[in-house]
Amino acid sequence: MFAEFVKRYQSWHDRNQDIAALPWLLFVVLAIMTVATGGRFLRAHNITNLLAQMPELGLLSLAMMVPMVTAGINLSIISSANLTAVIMALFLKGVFPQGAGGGTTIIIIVGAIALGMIVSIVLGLLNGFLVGYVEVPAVLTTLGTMILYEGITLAITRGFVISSMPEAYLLIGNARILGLPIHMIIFLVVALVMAIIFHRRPYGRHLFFVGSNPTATAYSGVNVRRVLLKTYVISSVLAGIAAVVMLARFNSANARQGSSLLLSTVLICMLGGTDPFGGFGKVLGLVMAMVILQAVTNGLNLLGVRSFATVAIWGAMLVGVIAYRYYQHQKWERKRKQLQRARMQQ
Amino acid sequence: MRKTLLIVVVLLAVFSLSTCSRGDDDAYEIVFIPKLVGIPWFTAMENGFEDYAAEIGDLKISVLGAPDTDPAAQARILEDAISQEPDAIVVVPNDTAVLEPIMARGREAGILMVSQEAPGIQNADMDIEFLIAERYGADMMELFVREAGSEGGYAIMVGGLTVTSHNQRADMAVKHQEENYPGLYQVTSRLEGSESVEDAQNRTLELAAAYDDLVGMIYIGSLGAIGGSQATKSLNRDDIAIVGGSVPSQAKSYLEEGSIDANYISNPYRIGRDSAYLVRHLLSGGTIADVGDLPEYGTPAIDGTVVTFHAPSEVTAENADMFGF
Amino acid sequence: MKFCPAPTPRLRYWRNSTLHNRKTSRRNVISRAFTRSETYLFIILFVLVAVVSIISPRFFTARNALQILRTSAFTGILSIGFLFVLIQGGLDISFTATATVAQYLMALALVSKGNVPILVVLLIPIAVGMLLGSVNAVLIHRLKAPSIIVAIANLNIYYGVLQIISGGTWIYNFPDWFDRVGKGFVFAFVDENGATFGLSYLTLIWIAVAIVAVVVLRYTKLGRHLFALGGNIEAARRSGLSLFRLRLFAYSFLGLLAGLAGIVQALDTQTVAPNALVGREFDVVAAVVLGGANIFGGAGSVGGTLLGVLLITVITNALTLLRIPAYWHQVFIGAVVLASISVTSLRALLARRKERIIDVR
Repeated sequence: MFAEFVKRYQSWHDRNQDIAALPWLLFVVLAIMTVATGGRFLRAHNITNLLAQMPELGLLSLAMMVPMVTAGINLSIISSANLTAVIMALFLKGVFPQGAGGGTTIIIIVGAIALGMIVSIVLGLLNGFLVGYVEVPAVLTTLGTMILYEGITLAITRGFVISSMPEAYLLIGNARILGLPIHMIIFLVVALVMAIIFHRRPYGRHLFFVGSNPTATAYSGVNVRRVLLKTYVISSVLAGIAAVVMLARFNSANARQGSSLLLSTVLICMLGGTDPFGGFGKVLGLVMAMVILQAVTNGLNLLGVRSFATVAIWGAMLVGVIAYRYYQHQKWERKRKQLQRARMQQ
Repeated sequence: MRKTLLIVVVLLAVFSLSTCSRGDDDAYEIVFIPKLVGIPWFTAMENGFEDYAAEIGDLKISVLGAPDTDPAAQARILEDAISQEPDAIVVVPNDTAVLEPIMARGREAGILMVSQEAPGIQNADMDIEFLIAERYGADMMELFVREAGSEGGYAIMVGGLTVTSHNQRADMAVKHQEENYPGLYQVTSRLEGSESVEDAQNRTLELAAAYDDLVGMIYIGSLGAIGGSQATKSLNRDDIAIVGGSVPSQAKSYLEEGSIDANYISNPYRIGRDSAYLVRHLLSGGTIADVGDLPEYGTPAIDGTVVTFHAPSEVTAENADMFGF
Repeated sequence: MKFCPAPTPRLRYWRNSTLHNRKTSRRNVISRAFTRSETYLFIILFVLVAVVSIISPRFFTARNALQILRTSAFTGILSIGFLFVLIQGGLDISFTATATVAQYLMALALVSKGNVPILVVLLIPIAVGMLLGSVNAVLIHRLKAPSIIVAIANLNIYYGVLQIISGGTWIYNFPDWFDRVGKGFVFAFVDENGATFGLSYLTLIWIAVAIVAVVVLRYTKLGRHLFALGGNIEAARRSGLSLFRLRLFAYSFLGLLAGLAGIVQALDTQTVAPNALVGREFDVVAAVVLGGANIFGGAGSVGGTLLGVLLITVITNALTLLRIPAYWHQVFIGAVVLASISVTSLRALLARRKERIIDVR
């Protein structure tokens, strides 16, 4: 039984060298936090709390990861999520009748979510069109749309918060099924779907090809432009799902909500083994990285550490990860050369 | 090998910071969550909390806060604070609606949940209001009329267009003007930039150029008046009244030379002390009805769970030093 | 897909000069001008200024022009530093944190009772800036990491540590000389209100930095090497350039200018707050890419960068003067940035199609 497990781990480890350190890091972080907080970290209440906080961050990180695999980036995820949330909130508040029956309620909520998805798709199409067809570098496109989308949201709301969603809608962020919060289930399903798309579907393979060598990919008959267009639409839809969750969890929408999460998503992608130069990235790595980061933040908050210390620690962790990657890469290189030399001698 | 290196680094990073000193179990643990940390206003308020705690002896204050006024970030911090299971949490919400469900969870966990500056909050055991928006708006407008007269155009600048409390105060000031001073009117819609000297300065210069009928500016936010006064100074336009709410020690030299005409702000240090007193009163078995006299601001008005007193007062060149921040 | 830089004007000139016809060559001067993004930017800026001037006569005044130049100085100085890093193929957005740290240490020296000599006060931020900049360079070079990621990490470290140590305390009430320099003019006029206005010292610093930058980029070997490194790193390495030295220069130059920008901002506002600058990185990035610099390195000019900075300041200035509600300002700025970078990319795309260059990199 145990030997079987070790063998399995060995084989997983060999196949996933780029993220193999993460389970250990996760374990160490959890252990340190448990000890440092005198056990408060592992109490049921805090675990629930951790579970409640992860989905929005995880969904946004996935939205950041998809373009990163194609050697792009999407800086507009937060502002497009906010625009989506504001439009959904206006719809919910505008059409929700007093004392509506169960059927109407469900139809309206599904309608609001559908509207949100349409908005996200439109926002994603603009990004995807500019990156794929006009060939504007992704950093610049999404920098521009980040400013533009936030501006539009600001103009719609005139700076005010739209709050007090219908009770039924809030269930998405607060109710549980089988002990798991609904929005956690949403995240797990989305992560699973993304993992399947990434690692089992032709589109996923194209995504990685585009990320590692767009020219070669184009010559091998893949429509690179279409792949890129799809990429940014998917990214935007993921941000839209995050908006659905955030609207339910925070019961409000505004132009600048969640702006501090943008950096965390980049950090999570990096930590989770996504290569910002494109071509690499695993959903499992991202999920583990997210849990690690969330545990560190939460633990530091439990300890009453100032948030600026958290900011600095994240920065240090990022440098640490880069350094680790570099030395690991060098180790592989050395091994490869040794093997080559050994073969030559034979 | 490298793996252990990384682990050691993380270990060091965490342990060097886990200098939290827990212990003395008889003290009440209070977590204070301001809108954001790292600005003079909340630093002074923290000091008020801590000094009161040091005097009284059985309170332990810790501060948790986000580096910016992002409501989502604050929500996550409040969730973490609840997990810490202190005796009480005092939070100054960036967006009350965002925190409501979390406040409810904190109460379920048996923590005394106190809010500050959160009018209309549902899920707080007590809400402390040190500022009555109507009165703030009216006072601000009266100061403005004193300096600028009751005829002509003006503009209001807030810290950010998404800052609810600033928008409310601005609305009240406008309401007071519309009811009492029909000769005044706003030359343009609300502006943002009162938390940055540069923005306030640049927007004021542009407004002065664009509108000949501008008689003055009202800034809600702590750096607006500083920037505004620098703008009017460089234009040599003493006739444009600058009315704001800046940190007294910073505003003092501007008030002396008259480039800020009026400054109106609360004393966060004293608010901190009163808040600590109120929280301790409830923790030690008291009720809101019998809070009695506050150590700093006297007898508050009590309405259900809302405790209200009005702290803002005018800062002049003479009394600026007495604010202590 | 990486962008191949447009063929250099020099090459075109050589190609065209084989036709010994003065008339055509003059036409080529014009058509050559239209291959440069600076030209387009200048036209946009010109049209914008013209339109706004017609609508609002208050816009086109010497006072407003000088004010715009003063307002732009901070972003302008940072943009030039960022341009250097961009040209050699890096993206370093940690400059706001560098400027904050540099500025804060200077402010501490300014208000300290020890009477620190003025020269030392001004050297502190510059030295601090260069130091932090070279830390970035060393990490990026040694760890072969993407510069943007290292920059994000360092931005957080610098900013977080400064906030912890300073406790967020603002510093103000600087000595008189500091206030006088901040409000001083190189030459001044007096208007009908009796107010003096003129060319601010802050603008002068910006102009001086720009001149130095032009000289370095256009007339020194160092400048050409930076372009070479950004254009094709492998070629640069094979031709024997010291990548480390070039990078060290570019990043510490950005650090130096960040320190200088920190001084300028403190002179302008007379207040140093640890949270005033961080978060404004994208203003600078937007200005530089508006100026036509290639985000992947190898192309960019000081002139374009200056125009990019001015364009953004002019838009904000004009929106208020045109009495457009503040709620809409960000929509306009976003749209202009997006339109402008799209046009640049579109032109590059069309040019590539026409010349059928296939760039495999």
